[in-house]
Amino acid sequence: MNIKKEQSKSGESEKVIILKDLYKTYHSSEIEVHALNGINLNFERGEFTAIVGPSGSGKTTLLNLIGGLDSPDKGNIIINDQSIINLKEKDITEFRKRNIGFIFQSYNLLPVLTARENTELVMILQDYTESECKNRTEELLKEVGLEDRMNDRPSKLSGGQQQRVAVARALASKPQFILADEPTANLDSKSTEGLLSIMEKLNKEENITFIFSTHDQRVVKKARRIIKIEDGKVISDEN
Amino acid sequence: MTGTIAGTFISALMTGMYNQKVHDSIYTECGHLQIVSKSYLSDEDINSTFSAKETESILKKYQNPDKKAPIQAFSEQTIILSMAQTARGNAGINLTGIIPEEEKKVSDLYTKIIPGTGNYFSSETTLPEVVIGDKLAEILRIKNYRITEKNLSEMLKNGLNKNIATKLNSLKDIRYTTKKELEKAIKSVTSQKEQEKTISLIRKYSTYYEHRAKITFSFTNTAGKLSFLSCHVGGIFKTSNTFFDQSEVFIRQQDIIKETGLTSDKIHKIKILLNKNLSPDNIKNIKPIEQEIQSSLPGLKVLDIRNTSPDAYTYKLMSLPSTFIIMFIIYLVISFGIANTMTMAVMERIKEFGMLRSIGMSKKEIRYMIMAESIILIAIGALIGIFISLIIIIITSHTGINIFGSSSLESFGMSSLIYPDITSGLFIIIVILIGIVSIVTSIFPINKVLKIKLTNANKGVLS
Ligand SMILES: Nc1ncnc2c1ncn2[C@@H]1O[C@H](COP(=O)(O)OP(=O)(O)O)[C@@H](O)[C@H]1O
Ligand SMILES: [Mg+2]
Repeated sequence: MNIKKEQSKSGESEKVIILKDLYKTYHSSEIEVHALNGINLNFERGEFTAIVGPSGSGKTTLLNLIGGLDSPDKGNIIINDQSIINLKEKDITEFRKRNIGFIFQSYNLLPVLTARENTELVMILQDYTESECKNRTEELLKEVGLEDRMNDRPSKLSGGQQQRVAVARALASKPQFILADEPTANLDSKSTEGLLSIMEKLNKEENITFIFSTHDQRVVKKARRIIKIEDGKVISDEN
Repeated sequence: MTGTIAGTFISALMTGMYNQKVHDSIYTECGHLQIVSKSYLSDEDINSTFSAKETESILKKYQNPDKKAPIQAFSEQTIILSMAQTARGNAGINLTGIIPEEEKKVSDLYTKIIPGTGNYFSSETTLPEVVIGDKLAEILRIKNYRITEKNLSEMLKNGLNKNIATKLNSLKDIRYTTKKELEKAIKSVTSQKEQEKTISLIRKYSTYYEHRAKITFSFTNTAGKLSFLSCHVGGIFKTSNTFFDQSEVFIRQQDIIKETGLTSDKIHKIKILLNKNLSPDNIKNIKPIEQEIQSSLPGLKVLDIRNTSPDAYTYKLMSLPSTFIIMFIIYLVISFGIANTMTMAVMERIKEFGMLRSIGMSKKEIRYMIMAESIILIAIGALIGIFISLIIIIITSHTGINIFGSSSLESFGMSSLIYPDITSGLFIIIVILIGIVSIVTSIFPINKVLKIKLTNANKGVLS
């Protein structure tokens, strides 16, 4: 295992995610697609950051790499002073479980479970006690405004409500980071607004780092930091 | 579930078939035990006899007086190798002299007389009366076919097409002495398509047996001289064993001994039916009594089903392993089907598994999850399946079931009516097989799911 320790320099704000010179190339049917072309980025604790760019610019690829769902061809990803790129399957799974919450574009809830059970799922995987699960779940679902829909299955919920369950699920195990790939792509503008204000609120209250991709201008406006990428390269990074 | 029903039922059917075969050969043909002279074993000669009186007095000790006695009944037989002859055919047969009242106690053959052909030794005949089998009647051309006004109307009632019936009019009242002749005639007036279903129907209803047919038997008597005996057929039986129907002819003992030079005390065989309390159909249970009788009859040889009906016995021996093999094949085929369905079901939910892995479920946990799911699913299906097939088996084990049509199995000496049966051994095998199937079949979808790249799984892409 290749674990590099990065000294965090005191005085500077804490860099919890460091991306160094990331490259990722897909080889599909004879053409090579350079999804990421040398990405260098740092993220600090408590950020609320949007990654924007046209479709095909590499947003999803970037988030997948940060979340350890995929690995880069070149470069390094250091999270909490630890490189994750050479971790074994088992350790990377454990890493995801402990540190990262995912919100998917198409919600990806389990259809047979209720909103409450879907939210509890991660906590059960992490061996929380029953009462801890119950309290946290109820608290979160209340936060996302679903206290009266807790026992409904996803099929009974609207897209916006389902995505709010997904947010609650992502937050349930108190991860350090939440990665959301176009979380509002399937939502109408009202649900989008609702979801974003919930995300903002949780970001402030729990000091959780939010990194989300989008190409929706209304969403971009809410972000405190906007990273623009095109053709797998960062073209601007503004606070 | 359907798989379980099929598997369970087919194996029960096979067990039923084997049991039937053994049952028939005991209760119709051979009895549980037979006694012959030692010389008869090596040479079935007319002179290889033993004393009926002496032997039977010994056997009676095992029979009287209480109901628990091991021997239920016995019947003596005089067996003469003969040539049976009619004006139109001949065949080598065993002409067996019996005392009908005694024989009835050890053989249910009297219940197998084809209706309309007479009966079991109570027909009025001017010559000595014989009872022969259906197959022999066919060979000797006693069994004939004739389409008449009467049986034509019966055929119409039983589904014969009117057009075909009109075509058959030209064949009316002609006597066909063989199946072939009849079929040739039918084929000459009907089309290929019309024949398919109707031939067996026409054959069935146009069959008739020559009344009181005369058969002449020829055999060598005790002195080695060729003798003849003419008889009338008093009844024709049909058992599940075509070979038996072809080769066994029964006659009253008193009618045959006159011609053979034997006496009523000189017999060739005694058939013994044992008491049901012993569960004597299972060869294991009769060994002790067999040995006991053998030791009290030192000059004679006691035979059991292993000798008297070796083919039935081999079936019995074969039944468990071969059922197992067939079940195994059935379940193997079913497994592929289930694995396929499971894989598809799991693939449809690829996003779920992608999500679960993303939020930190390990491959091992996913593996157990899918396995548990498929085991539960298959177990539920299997339980329902077993339940349904048990009901079917219980019902059909009383009524019997005719699966293969009438004659195909009978030519193998098996009854066409099968009484399915399931033993506890078989049942355990089925449960074990189902268990194996459910684990094995979950391996395919598991491997497939875990091979898919996580980034694709989350999008629902299957690669
Ligand atoms: N699994 C894959 N195989 C081949 N090409 C891919 C794959 N995933 C993404 N790509 C390509 O990589 C580039 C970046 O994709 P992606 O990260 O999904 O962009 P975005 O999320 O910004 O739309 C695109 O050109 C896309 O076609
Ligand atoms: Mg994308």
